Amino acid sequence: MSKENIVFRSLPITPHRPLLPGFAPALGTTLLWTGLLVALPLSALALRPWEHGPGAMLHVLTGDRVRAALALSFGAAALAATIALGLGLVLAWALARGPRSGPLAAVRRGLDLLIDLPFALPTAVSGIALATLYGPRGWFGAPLHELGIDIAYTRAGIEVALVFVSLPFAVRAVEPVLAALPAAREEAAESLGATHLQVLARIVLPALRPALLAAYALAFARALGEYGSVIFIAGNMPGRSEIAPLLIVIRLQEFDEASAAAIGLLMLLGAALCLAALSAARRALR
Amino acid sequence: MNLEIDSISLDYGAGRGLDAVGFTVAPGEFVALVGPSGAGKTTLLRIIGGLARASAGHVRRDGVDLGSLPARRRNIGFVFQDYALFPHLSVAGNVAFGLKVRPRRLRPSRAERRARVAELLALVQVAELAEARPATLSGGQSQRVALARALATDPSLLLLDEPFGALDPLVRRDIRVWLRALQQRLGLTTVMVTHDRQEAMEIADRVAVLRGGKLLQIDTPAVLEAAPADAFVMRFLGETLEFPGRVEAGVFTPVSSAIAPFAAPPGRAGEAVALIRPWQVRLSPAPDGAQIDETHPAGAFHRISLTLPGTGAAFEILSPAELPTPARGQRMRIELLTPRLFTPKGEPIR
Repeated sequence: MSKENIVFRSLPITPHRPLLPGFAPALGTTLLWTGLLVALPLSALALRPWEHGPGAMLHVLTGDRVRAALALSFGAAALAATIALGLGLVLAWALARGPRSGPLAAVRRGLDLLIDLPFALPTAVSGIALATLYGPRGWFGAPLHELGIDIAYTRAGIEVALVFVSLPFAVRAVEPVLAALPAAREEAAESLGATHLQVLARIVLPALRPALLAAYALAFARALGEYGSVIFIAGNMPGRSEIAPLLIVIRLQEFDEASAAAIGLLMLLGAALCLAALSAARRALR
Repeated sequence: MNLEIDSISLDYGAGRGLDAVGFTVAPGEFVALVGPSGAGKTTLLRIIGGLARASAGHVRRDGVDLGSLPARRRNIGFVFQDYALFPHLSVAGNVAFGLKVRPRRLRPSRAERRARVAELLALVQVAELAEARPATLSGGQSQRVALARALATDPSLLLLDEPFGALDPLVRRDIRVWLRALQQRLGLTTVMVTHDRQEAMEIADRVAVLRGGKLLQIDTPAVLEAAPADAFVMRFLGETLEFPGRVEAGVFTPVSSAIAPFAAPPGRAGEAVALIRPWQVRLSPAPDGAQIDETHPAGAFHRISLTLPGTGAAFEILSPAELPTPARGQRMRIELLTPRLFTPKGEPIR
């Protein structure tokens, strides 16, 4: 066969052939719903505070009460997310590595169910329950009060509520990744002479870093926006234990919608900044 | 280093586990554990390495019981099936791991570690990959890195779990030859698990055949071939042809008249089956012989398909390529050159 007889023919390629069937309607629907559900309300929030001019906006935000509330909200959320991450890692470990058979397996399964309950519980219910438990006459509150430690109606109370609601996010972000880690890596490390602590620090935790960051981001976001459970246990002293979401509600009740929106906008920007930083850190780890 | 496996048992339930497996590995010896899946090969390897606990029996190194010594204190190099490299560390970081986790007073300095890593990577011929991440390595490279990592702590014993399992067949052969040469150069006592019988026969000094948690036979490849402990071992270790017949007065008479009778051990009588490798036969023309159906060249052999008269049983033999190939339709008598006889239950007749 001569060379001329060989004909290379490529398959016909239609220009702009979509990779996914129904790509256009899928993209359209996605954009429409994201626009209606997310972008529109957020833009409204971004525009609303400026109606009395930048001066009025600045005035709202430089107030001591607002500054204290914002600092408390972000600080408390960061601390709560840190605590939730530590506890969440231990809980995720118990769930992922716990016994699959024998009497302790039932304990593991029970734990698995319990973890998700804060997801489903109305936050006001959690708040009231926690306030009762940690209140001066509560089961935990009374003995702690004897020792001179007050939880309810202090900043510590805020942390307790925030950790309670954000813990499941931390656990559920870490657990599947932990469960999927190949056991052989840890065994390899052990056979090379590593102690359990070294295996944890040098093999397991590095592999979990992206998941831990995601867990922190989720827990932080949840804690930052939390309102219902906190107001029952926080005491809500302006400038001391008043969180920003509560201040927004107070401003709304005073019909000062512009101020409420201004605080809301600031929270939104702060949250976006924190989440973007965490997401950048996660990408850097890849 | 002398390794002694002394009647190791492990009860997993459901017929899995190990049943009083025992053998010794001489210093510098390369032993391969083979057997069908579920035979307990990997379990035994993990027990030797301290990654699993036996319910009975002992593992001794130079006479010292390793007992409940944890894996990290055994100083045994373990190469895992899919290498189990640490993805967040560079190749050099992986190899240095065993040195880095040592207690401070035993830990080599940074410069010493670097020198040792360079030496090991050169030994396994991947010196240029020191800074690479495991995810970017090919299967063969990962395998070499895993080996270097296992060798870094100067282990007294090397354990390999299906070390060639994830490699493509071409690389597989090369790396097998290379590994064997390296093992002999280092004089390192080695135990390897594989499901590939051919691999085991080619690389190991001795091969241990396991089945259902029991050790059936441990011998050199030559002895395993010449005197398999039972029919299963013979069948497991290679392609096998089987011809039923009877042993009577020191002669094995096959059921098919196309197979030539041959001398059997005296003093045994009854049903028997002759097992043979497809290349251990010779054909000679005979009117009542097996019919040639087809012939194909196959490397140094011709692959010849035959049908036995009477039973109609079809099978293939390998005939040296230098011998004349019989024509299709021709009838040939089959002489078994080195048959091994077994009872119908699979026990050897010797």
